[in-house]
Order: sequence, then C-alpha cells, then structure tokens
Amino acid sequence: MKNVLTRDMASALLIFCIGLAATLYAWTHYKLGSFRAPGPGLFPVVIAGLLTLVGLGLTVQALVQKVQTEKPDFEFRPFVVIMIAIIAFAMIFPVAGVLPAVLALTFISCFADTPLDTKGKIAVSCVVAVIAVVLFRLILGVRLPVLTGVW
Amino acid sequence: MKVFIAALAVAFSASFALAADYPERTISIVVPYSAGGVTDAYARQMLPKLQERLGQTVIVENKPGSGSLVGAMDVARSEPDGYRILMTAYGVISNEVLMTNTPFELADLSPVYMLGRGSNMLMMRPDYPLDTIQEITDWAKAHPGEMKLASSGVGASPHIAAELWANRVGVDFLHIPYQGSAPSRLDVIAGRVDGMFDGVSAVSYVESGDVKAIAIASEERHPSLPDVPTFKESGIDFVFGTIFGFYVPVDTPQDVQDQIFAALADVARDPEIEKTLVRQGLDTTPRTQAEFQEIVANELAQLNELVKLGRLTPQ
Amino acid sequence: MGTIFDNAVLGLQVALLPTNLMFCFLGVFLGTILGVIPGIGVLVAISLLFPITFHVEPVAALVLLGGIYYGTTYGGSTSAILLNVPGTPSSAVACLDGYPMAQKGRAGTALFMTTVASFFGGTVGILALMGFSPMIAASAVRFGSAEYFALMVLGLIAASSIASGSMLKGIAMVLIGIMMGLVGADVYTGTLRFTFGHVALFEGVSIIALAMGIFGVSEIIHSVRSVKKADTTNHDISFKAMMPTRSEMRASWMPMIRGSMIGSFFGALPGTGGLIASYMSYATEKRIGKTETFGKGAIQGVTGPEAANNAADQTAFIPTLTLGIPGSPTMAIILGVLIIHGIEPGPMVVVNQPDLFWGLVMSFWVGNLMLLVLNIPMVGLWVRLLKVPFHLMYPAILMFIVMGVLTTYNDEIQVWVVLLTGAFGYLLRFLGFQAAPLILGFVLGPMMEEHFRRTLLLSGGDFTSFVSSGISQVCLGVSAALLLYGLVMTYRNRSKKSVQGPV
Repeated sequence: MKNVLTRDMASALLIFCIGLAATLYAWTHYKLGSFRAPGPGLFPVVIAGLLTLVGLGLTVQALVQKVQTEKPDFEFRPFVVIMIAIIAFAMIFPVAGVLPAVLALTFISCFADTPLDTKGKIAVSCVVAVIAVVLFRLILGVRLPVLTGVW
Repeated sequence: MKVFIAALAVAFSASFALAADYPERTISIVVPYSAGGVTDAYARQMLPKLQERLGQTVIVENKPGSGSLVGAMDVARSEPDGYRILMTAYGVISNEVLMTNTPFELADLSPVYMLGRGSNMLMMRPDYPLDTIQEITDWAKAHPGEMKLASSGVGASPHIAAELWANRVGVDFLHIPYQGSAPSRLDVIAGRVDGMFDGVSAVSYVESGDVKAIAIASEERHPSLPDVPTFKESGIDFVFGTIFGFYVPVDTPQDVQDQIFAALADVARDPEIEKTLVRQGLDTTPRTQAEFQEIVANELAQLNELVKLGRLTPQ
Repeated sequence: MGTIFDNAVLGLQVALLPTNLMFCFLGVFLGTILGVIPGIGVLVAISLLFPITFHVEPVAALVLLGGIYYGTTYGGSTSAILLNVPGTPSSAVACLDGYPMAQKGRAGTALFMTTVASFFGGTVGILALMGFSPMIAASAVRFGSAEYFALMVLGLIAASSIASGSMLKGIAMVLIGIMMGLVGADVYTGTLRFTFGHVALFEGVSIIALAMGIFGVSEIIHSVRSVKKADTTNHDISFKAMMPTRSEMRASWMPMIRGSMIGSFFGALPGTGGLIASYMSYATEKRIGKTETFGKGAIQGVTGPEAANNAADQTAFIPTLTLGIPGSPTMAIILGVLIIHGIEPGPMVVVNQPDLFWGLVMSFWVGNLMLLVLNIPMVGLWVRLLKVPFHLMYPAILMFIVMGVLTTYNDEIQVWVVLLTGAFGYLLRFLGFQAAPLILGFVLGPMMEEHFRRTLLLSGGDFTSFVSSGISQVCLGVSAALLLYGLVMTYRNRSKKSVQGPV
C-alpha cells in the first residue's frame, strides 16, 4: 500500500473542503428565499453543494484508481520569489510610482531561477523598467505616476 | 444642508492658500463608470472647452466599480484642493441609502454643479393590452404584485422611478432587475416582462414601434414624443430622472468650488454641448450650487421614505 | 441578393476612403500588438484610444475601434501559443493545443494556421452580418432567460469536457469558476457576497486579474526552471517550416467551418460572444475528431476555436447595431461612440444610416484582410521570440501582467488580486487541474444565476418553465447526454489505464 495522501487525494479533499466551506458560509450568511422569489443565497448554496459532491466523487475516484496522475514537482523557490516580487510591486507602487515598483518587481523575480549574476539582474531590471515606462507612459499615454512627485 | 454648512465652515478656515492660483496643474475628472458610457461621454465632450476655460490640462479618469462607489470613494478620499472632481449619475445618491455597509458617505462630497436632469418614461411591451396610465394604474391596483416591471438594476434610476410611482399611486408590482438597460429593454421588446421605466434615450424604440410609451415623468412633454403625456397631465404628481452632476471632496475651499462652478456653468452653456444634452433628453435648467445641494438632499429624503415604507431594502 | 450587392458596393466606397483605410490600419495594427501583450486587452486599448474618436467622423471612429476590437483577438492567441499565457482572456482555449504545438517546434505552423483560421472565421462572421442581420437579430429576441440558462448549462458542461483527464476535475473547475464569479454585489438585491468587507471585491473579481493570475503567474512559476531545460533551438523559422503539412490542412478545414458557424451563432447572442464560442468549438472538435492528440498539440484544437472566436467578434455587432443592445462592455463603448456623434443607437440605425452601417461592415472585411497580410510575415518574428532565453523573458512577462492589470483598472488593489489568483492557480495546476474551464465558469456563472433566478421570478417559481421551449429542451438534453458520456468515458479510460499501467 502506497501513501494514502496522494496528489489526487489532496486535490479531492481541497475541492471537498472548498465546497463544504462555501456551502456553509452561503447558507448561514445569505437569504435562501423561495423558488417563487429566490434569495441571494440560493444559487451559491446549490453550486457549492454540487462542488462538495464533486469533491466526494473525486475522493472515491482517488481511492479506487490504481494509477496516479503524474505531475511536476512543486516549484517552491520560484513560487515564493514570484509572490514576493508581486507583493513588492503592490507595496512600492502607491508610494513611489511605476519606475521603482517595476525595478523591484523584475529584480526580485530574477531570483526565481537564473544563470545571471547581480550585474545581469540589474541590467534586466533596468531594461524592463524602461520598456514599461516607454510603452505605458509615452506610447499608450497612461496616466500613472512614473516616479511619484517627480513625473 | 448639513453638507453645505460643513463645506462653508471648512472653506472659511482653509481658503487662504489655494484659491488665488487655482488651477495651476492638471485637473482630473473622475468618472465612476467605464469609458464610453453616457456619463463618460458627457464628461469627455466638455473636456476641450473646459481646458480652454480653465487654462489647464483636464483629463477624464475612469474608475468603474460597484455602481459608482469606487470612483466616488476615490474622490472623497483625495486632497480637497479641487484637482479631483467627480462626475456621476444617480447612483452616488441611491448608493448612500441602499449600500449602508460601505466605507463611503455622500456627506464626504460636496455637490458643486448639476449638469442636468434626465426624465424617465414608462414604456410597455408592444402587445400590452392597456394604453393609458389610468388603465394601467387601475389594473395594477386590482392585481397587486402581478405587473412585471423590469429595471436596469437595483438602485438605478429606473428602479427608483418605478418604486416612486408605485408609492405615489399606491400599487405593488413585481420588480425584475437586469444588468444594465440594454438587456431589460430586450425583454420588454420580446414581451417577457410587461414594461419598465427607462430614460428618454429609449425614444428610438418607441419610434420603431418595438415598445409603446405610456407616460413621461417630466414637467413637460418631450419634443421627440409629442403624443406621450406627462404623469402630471394624468393627475399623478410624479417627476423623476437621473441627475448628472459634479462633486468635490467636502473640505474643498468654497472659493475653489465657486471657480469650478463658474467654469462648468460656462462650458455647459456652450450651444453645441447644450444641444447634445437636450437631444439626450436632459433638462438643463441652470441651477446654483445651493439649488443642486437642495435637490440632492430632497432625493435622499425621498429615498429614505421608500426605505421606511419597505419598498427599498438597504444592504 | 441585388440589394446586398448594392449595399456592399456602397459600403466599400465608404470603407476605401483614405481616412477610413488609415484608421482601419491603425486599429488592426494597434489591436494586434496590444492583443499579443498579456494583460492589456481590448478594453484598455479601446479606452485609451476612445478620446481620439471625438475628433473624427463617426464612421472613422467606429472603424478604428472595431479594428482594435477584432485585432486584439488575432493577437491574443499569439502569446497563448508561444508562452502559454493568453494575451486576452478569450484566447484561453488557444493554450490547450497551441502551446503543445509550439513545444514540439511547430509554433510557426500554429501561428500561421491561427491567422488563416481567424481570417476565415472573420469572413464568415461578416457574411452573416451582411446577409442575415435582421434574421439573427430576430432570433436573438427569442432567447429569454430560460433559454439562456439552458445554453449556459450546455456551455459549461462542454467546457468541463475540454480539459484532458478526468471530467469530474473539469466540473470541479467550472464550479469553482462559478463561485468566484458570484463574488460581489448580487444583481437582484445588491447583497454583497463573499467580499469579506473588501471594497475591491464589491464589483467582483476582475476577469483580467483572474486570467492573468491563473494563467500568467502560475505559468511563469511553473516554467522558470522547466523551460530552460527544454530544447528551444529546434525552432525552424524558415517559411517552409511555417507552412502546414497537407494532412494538417485537411484536418483544419472542417473545424474551421464548424467553428465559424458556432462563432457566428454565439457572437450574435448578447452576453455570450467569443469566449464561449471558442470553448464550444473546442468541445465539438474533441468529440468529433478521431484523434487522440487533443491537448498534446492537435491542429484542430487551434483552428476551430480560433475561427469561432473571430466569427463571434464580427457577429457581436449584429445586436449592437441592429437592436442597440450591446453584448459586451466593448460593444457598449462602441454604442457610446454613436451617442457622442448624435446617432441614436437602436433598431433604426441600419435604415437611417446605411452608409455608416455598410461602410463599417465592409471596413471589417478590409481590416481582416489587412490582418492576414500583416500577421503572416510577423509569424517569423514571433517565433524568433522563442529563441530569447526564458530567464530574460519572464521578468518582462511579469511586468506586462502587473502593469496591464494596473492600467486596466487604475487601481493597485487589482495587483493583489493577481497575486492571490496566481498563487491559487499554481496550487490548482500542481494538483492536476486545468484552468481553462474555470475561466468560462467565471464568466458564465453570474449570468447563469441571473437567468436562473429571473426564470423562476417570471414564472412564479414554476420549474417547468426551464424546459418550456424547444431551444431549452435541446440544450439541456444535449448537456445531459454530454455529461453522461463524459463520466462513462472517464470511468472507462481509468479502468483501461489501470490494466496497462505499471503496478
């Protein structure tokens, strides 16, 4: 007997849990109404309920089947790095503008996996930032602050 | 009124610096709807003349979302210096009453200039058996909750119009909301609902015979629809339509607000712009800022009454 | 037929005026470029260029906006094929088989064939627009809430079958998509659902942020290491390598015809359009096609949906221009242009403004021709892009995604939405779910609810009203059959595999 918590089982449980949580949340927070006058809760409960059932179905499928679907490994480092890069953008942009935000975004994202050295990373960031400013500000004429307070 | 007094109070305390130089940089007009909508179209049409009049670049920024909430909130929270001006339709008023659970208060904005007031008309499906407002009212009274009236959405001006009318004549109807006026019109044309209140922009459907207009909620008959009576002529005191207006943050110095008012008033009276607005069925009677503020206050009172009567349910 | 010919001549006279030609070229050129860049969709492009339309004649304005509109559809599939990131949400289907083709070194062929299929679909859509506008408009009126509901059920069942692997997983994705689509204010009461107090969610999750997160960000995370390992040097970019083989041509012909017809139909229905059309076309080809290669680079999976997408773009103008009923936000902007120029949109436009209507229609065809001529030489250029090492590409793609979303909504909160949907998308991908059905569920879910509730509201809670018309009966019947068939096939494949597979 192999590991019980296979990837298929994990995905089945994820679907089941999302479905159940959404069903309960919608059931308790929104009015169901009647069929004559359906309330805002009716449709979400139906859909989330179906999702729960599909989650059960997937669980059965995962238990019964003998062959595991093959999947790639979880790319942990790229995942974390890209997330941090976007967070940096979202936090820097409102304070300082497009240029520093894009520089941070690209420079951090370079750490996901790259043969480049620091100089190369800086170069890539600068080029991408210039593209961003030229394309969005100069060509498309989008009104976003490039460098807050300056341009 | 409270808004007005608050604005005055702040104006006295903060008006020393900015006013003389206003405007010294780019002014943004925030439209809380997507580019290409009616409100956006009006704003953009006024743009060139407004730039000329103010001697500064003026741009239109679209901040769509949640009726008009996202854009309204954006302006309410901006610096009260007259460089961010909200231009919006009725939603900003009805949201105040209907969407209570939001981090936005209409009192954070000061109404400055009212561009115009639309008017709603009651139109019915082409094969609807009754033709006059009196017959329709009588039928609706005899059959409470059976007449199916569509609207372009909860809290949009056609919905409010229907509730106000129903309240005035004392009937109950079945409200069928849609997302926007286009799909609701389609179901009226196809006869799946009995009718709806709609802006005068629906005139072409009346002309083509796809719907029939019953009565119009304005003071006078509409030039494009000379045969359609007003509600008033039929003995129902009912005048209603969306309000297009400009708002600034409530703390904006009064003399800056005055300058904005003066500029907008000049531009709106440009013959070409006025022609467009009138053609779209807007009542463009010039109104002072105080009158605009009173109109907004009256609308709020009217909406709150509907809520009290249980005809509208705030969320 | 004489009148159609006369009208076409009248239209051509308008469309071939130098100014209109120029605006047409400008529109399709900008459209293609902006369509290729992930994150910047047709809405941004049109909103940005909207101010120009004030200063030109209404025909030129519409020709320009129309050109951008269908131009982005041509471009949107390019990045889907090359990078597995759809340039616009409606080209999500092009990822399914286009990207595998590119990985096999057939990117040139895939791009060439999408251009041909786009042109073919566009032309069929224009012919439908010319010949059958009144008829199609009349049948659009026959679709009430019950019929729309049935149609959407059909679309969603079809969508859950397009992903490779278990149909249950496809259904799960559709349902999650619907749930995400329900976030925001309820149409009927204004009740805020699943927003947890966040103002950014009042209007719901934005489609571009979702598509970019779930496709774009998760694709970058997935590919950063794996693409480098893959051999990217085997891309032959000579003209000969770009040409499809004879069997590829033969395999594409019928899907293109079917796709165009599916697209013409869905495009004309307000609210549906190119996205559902491309899913339906893919699902159809997957059922009809006798090949096992779907999802692994089947040319039919690219050409059919692409033809459908572009046909739908053209017929979307039918309700907009003949009824004054815009089927999408983009179409609403097009109507806005009419209003600004003092033309009342509605049933009278075709009658009162024949030169505008026919000029516009013929300009569409001119524009499609321009796109064909413009895009074929560009294929080589795009394929060359694949030679750029991925570690230099992905920071730029990430920037386009984030900046595109930012400029679309003018609100940095949407960047956070991209972050969350990207993380969620990668998790789903890791667990073996495909994102394409989710997107359709997301788009159709709220409409489905609207029509579901309206049907009940209008009939006083009578469930038989869902099957009272022939249209609904057929749609729901086919849906049930598809569902049954899909589940049985999943079960069979599983048991077959378990026999063959290693134990």
